[in-house]
Amino acid sequence: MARRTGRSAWIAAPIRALLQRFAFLLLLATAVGLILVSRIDRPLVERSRALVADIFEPVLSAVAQPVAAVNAVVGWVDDILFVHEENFRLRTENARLLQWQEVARRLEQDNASLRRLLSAGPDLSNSFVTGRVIADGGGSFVRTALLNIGGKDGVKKGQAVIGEGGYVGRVAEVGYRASRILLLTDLNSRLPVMLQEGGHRAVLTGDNSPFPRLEYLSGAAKPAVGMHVVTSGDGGQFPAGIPVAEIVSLDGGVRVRPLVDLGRLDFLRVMQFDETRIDAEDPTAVLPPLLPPQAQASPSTPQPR
Amino acid sequence: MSALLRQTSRRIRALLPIFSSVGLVLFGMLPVGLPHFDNVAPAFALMAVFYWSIFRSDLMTMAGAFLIGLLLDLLSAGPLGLNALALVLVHELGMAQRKVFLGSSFLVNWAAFALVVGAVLPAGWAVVSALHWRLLPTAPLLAQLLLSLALYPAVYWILSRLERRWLRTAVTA
Repeated sequence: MARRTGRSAWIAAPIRALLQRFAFLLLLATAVGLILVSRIDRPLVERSRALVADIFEPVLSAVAQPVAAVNAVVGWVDDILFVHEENFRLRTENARLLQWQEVARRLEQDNASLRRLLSAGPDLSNSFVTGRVIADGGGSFVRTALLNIGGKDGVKKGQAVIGEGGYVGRVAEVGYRASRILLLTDLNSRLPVMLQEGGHRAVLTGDNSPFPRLEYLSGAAKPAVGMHVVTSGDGGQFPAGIPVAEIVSLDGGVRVRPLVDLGRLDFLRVMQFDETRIDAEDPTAVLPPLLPPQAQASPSTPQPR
Repeated sequence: MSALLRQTSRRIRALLPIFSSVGLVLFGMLPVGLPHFDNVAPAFALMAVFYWSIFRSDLMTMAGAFLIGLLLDLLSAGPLGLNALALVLVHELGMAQRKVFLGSSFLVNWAAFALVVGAVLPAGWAVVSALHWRLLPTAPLLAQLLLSLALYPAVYWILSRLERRWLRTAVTA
């Protein structure tokens, strides 16, 4: 301590004063530099984000539980208030669904027999990991959520995240025990989709509003309000046919409303659809042989007799 | 021994501004489903840094404000550095005007906060819009502004209680 009053203080004092005077500008410049670096070196930023998410995951997980409890109580009160209406709605829905069940049974049988006829391979099986949302974007510029599962649970970047009713987003960053989901409403979200009726391809583009836009839809397609949009599976990161959204408006571009209420996310499932993994384990599951097994045993070209 | 204990306690209490700000950052991240607000959280970090840079600028340093902003950036997945930039500016504004605010009433403080938040949040919106080269929707911005203004008295009350309880004795960094 006594040393500081010596010569070093005589030199250090002006430098310190200068530093303090320029600390403000220095920090401003650092912040601007960070903004630029984050535009250039995305992997580095993603790694640091994943690290910070990992560090704060236990705290956020612990606090998110009472929050979920409060949300549940609010939902419970809501349920009781509207129990009569809900009951009526469920009765009518049940009657309608029983009819559909009959149709589904018939279709299932048809499907099975047609599959046998084609000797087609089984559907790709997907496995899921379930996690809880422990934090949301927390800003007005992004639409993301933090899940309390990560690399240790088998979550990988790009996997589809499914909520109650359909597609929610995809995994954007993965830490060891936490991962970040890019919701389909986010500005950076681009999702290959198709119309459920007709199968016309399009790209669902988020713009931070609650109603993403349907872009690059072919002219032959006839979108209508109420039509459903499902994933097309293009890009190979997740399977086709996951329900995504419903068309709500056609004027000034096609706008859709996600089937899942993105404002109230709690438990979500990450779909572990990994084509390369399935490929390695069972090649026939992805690409069934063109010829039936019996034909392969015999010579492929007919011998002249 | 007791002198050492007292000093340790002082050191820990001196971290209250930083810890309370980090706590508010985490609180703002909680997945609370407010109807009609679409995941927009009030700018809690901005409130905390504004409060502490006026009332305990010795304990809420500029570097502290920068680090809190950086934490918020890393956790919220927005453009890295944006909140750090915003909070350093807020800290500077609070410091520059602290002599005015120290003797004045809460209403004056609230009005000043309204000016600061009304300048910083739209500026952030403009920066992000420029980075993406398109105009972002203004509804979330407006919602965040109004929520922040409405909740500032509550945060002010909590922080002033904390300050009175833990920092009443002269605590220095």
